[in-house]
Amino acid sequence: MGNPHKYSKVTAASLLVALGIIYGDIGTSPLYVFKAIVHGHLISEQLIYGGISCIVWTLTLQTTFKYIYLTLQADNRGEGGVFSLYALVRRYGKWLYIPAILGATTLLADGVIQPPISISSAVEGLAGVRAFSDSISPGNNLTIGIVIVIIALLFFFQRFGTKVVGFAFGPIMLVWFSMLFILGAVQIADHPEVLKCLNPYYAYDLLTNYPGGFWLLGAVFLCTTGAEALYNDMGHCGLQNIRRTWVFVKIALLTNYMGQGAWLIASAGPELGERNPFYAIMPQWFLLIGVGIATAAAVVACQAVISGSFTLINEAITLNFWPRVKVKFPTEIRGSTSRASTGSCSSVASA
Amino acid sequence: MLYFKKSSAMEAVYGFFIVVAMLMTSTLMFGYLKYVRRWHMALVLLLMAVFFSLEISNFIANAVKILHQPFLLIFVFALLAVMFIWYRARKITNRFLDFIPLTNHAKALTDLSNDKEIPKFATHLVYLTKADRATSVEKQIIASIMAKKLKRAEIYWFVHVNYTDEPYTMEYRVNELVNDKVIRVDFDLGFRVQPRINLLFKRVLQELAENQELVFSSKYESIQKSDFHTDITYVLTERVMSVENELSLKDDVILDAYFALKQIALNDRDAFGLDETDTVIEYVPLLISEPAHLPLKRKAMLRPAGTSLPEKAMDRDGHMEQRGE
Repeated sequence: MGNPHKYSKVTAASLLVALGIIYGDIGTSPLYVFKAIVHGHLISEQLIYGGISCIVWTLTLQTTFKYIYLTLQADNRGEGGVFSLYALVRRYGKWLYIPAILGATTLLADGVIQPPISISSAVEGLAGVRAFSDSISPGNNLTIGIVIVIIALLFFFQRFGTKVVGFAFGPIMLVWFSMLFILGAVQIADHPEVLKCLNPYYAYDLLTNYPGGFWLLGAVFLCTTGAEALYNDMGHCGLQNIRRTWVFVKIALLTNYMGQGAWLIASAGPELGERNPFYAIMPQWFLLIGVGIATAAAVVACQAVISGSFTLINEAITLNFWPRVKVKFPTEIRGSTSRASTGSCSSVASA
Repeated sequence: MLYFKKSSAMEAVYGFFIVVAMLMTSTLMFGYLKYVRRWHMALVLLLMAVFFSLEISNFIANAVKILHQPFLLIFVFALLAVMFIWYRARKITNRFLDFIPLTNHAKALTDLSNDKEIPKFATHLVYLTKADRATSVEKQIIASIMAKKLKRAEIYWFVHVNYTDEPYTMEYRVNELVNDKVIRVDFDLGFRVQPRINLLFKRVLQELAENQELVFSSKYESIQKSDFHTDITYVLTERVMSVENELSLKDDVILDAYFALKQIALNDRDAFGLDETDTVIEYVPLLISEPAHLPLKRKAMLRPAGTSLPEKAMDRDGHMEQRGE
């Protein structure tokens, strides 16, 4: 439990660990962000370029600047998270507990929603595989069944602690991000015009001129989910590790988003329908592998989110925000603890 | 999952919660940058303006969609309610704590401890106290030791747990008010540390014994040495609502909810890791009310024939004791 100053040295191993623990949520966003933006709209240059531009600038302003640069500095002896921050500032204002508990509850709610979203987005990719396209489609019973099974297994394994498989997280995410990058790069190579979206003009255009453009911001914002998780889990990895891996992660993410955008412009046709641009950019032969990797990455992401939720509840208990409930300590990974009762609540809620 | 069916339905809700979380962090960050880091106010405001505008626009964009998903909103409100109630209730109940100077009673405690005529209640009697200063203690704790059934112990311990603003502190301080008789121990624990009081306290005892800082002043040392470390009795206080409370309506509601929640939660004994030990639980009403006006009249007082009123009571030293003390 006690891990004092986690300003760990930067080594290849520590970078890998950081990759595995911190970026799960934010890294699996490409699975659903673009689909959310385009869903129900006609595909046009304005929409796609504007969407990419928004994503680029949101990721930059929110994640890179606000979190990676600024918020990570607000550490409480190396630990981050909304309650740690609250502990730092509570002496300056009695009312500060209100934003603290608001932040914590929404994060907990996210912790319940995140597993279903990412895993089902991953599994829905099976719809693209020709062999399965009759039996699998988003929303039908088989898909839901698979997702529930995976989620159930995930929570079941909480009891055994995650040390056993934890060492695999880093490499899995490494593979994942590399895949993102390669897939995106291939598409961009085909349609390099998409690179001009880096210009914020397109974002501005989307927001002001596109009918209902402002409301799309909601979907765009999904790309930053996980920034809070990043802050929360900071204590496990250390500031420097996070900053350096972020460079790699952001490039991979942006490349992939732009790749999806490029594909949408060039080949998607007027409407997206139920397809997911993330999977559409994969060649058919790769699809099954891609789904496998995506599911693995989603599972890793869920694990990080679950650990984060448990830490949050523990902090709440100690800070007198939550009744004392039974806490179990199976294995600990660098201070993250796992708790059976929250696990069962989350699994029931997720189901 | 079953409720949403498709991943696309969940996205809106997910986005909404994240935005709120980010807004909250921004708020806290505002406090941090301004007070802890002492950045210039103008700079802080500028940064906040940027973040807030981004986040609030997202908030609006998402808020519309979430109104379509009431169940999750209810879930979040339930969580919020629990946190809010728990926090506020603690503040309210703390108002009812009555502190008195411990030093005033140090001698009485020492005398009680040395009084061999009274059966021993415990070797180490431990009370958990909320008093911040070592020289204070709850009035109700002293009452528990001396006013109800007398609790004689070799050593009286008053343990206080202090949660620090740092996450992983684990330190303790010892304050002997009366050597080897009345001792206060302060545990400074970080907010990410589990307060396993029994473990921590045993360790303190061990260290004190090893350093020979604690001396047993009992005649029967040979027998008692063996249970020096293990004969620990904890006394926990359970607060109960008393009928006589006069609280504002809001406080009343909060406290009702608090006690209801307490039924589900772990009791203090298990929460503090005391479940292996002898733990005595005492029930204390939240407000010791003044005795109401009782129109009770004496109608008769009969005695066996041939007796008279007893002598005024005398204690062993031959001093007169006031009746009714």
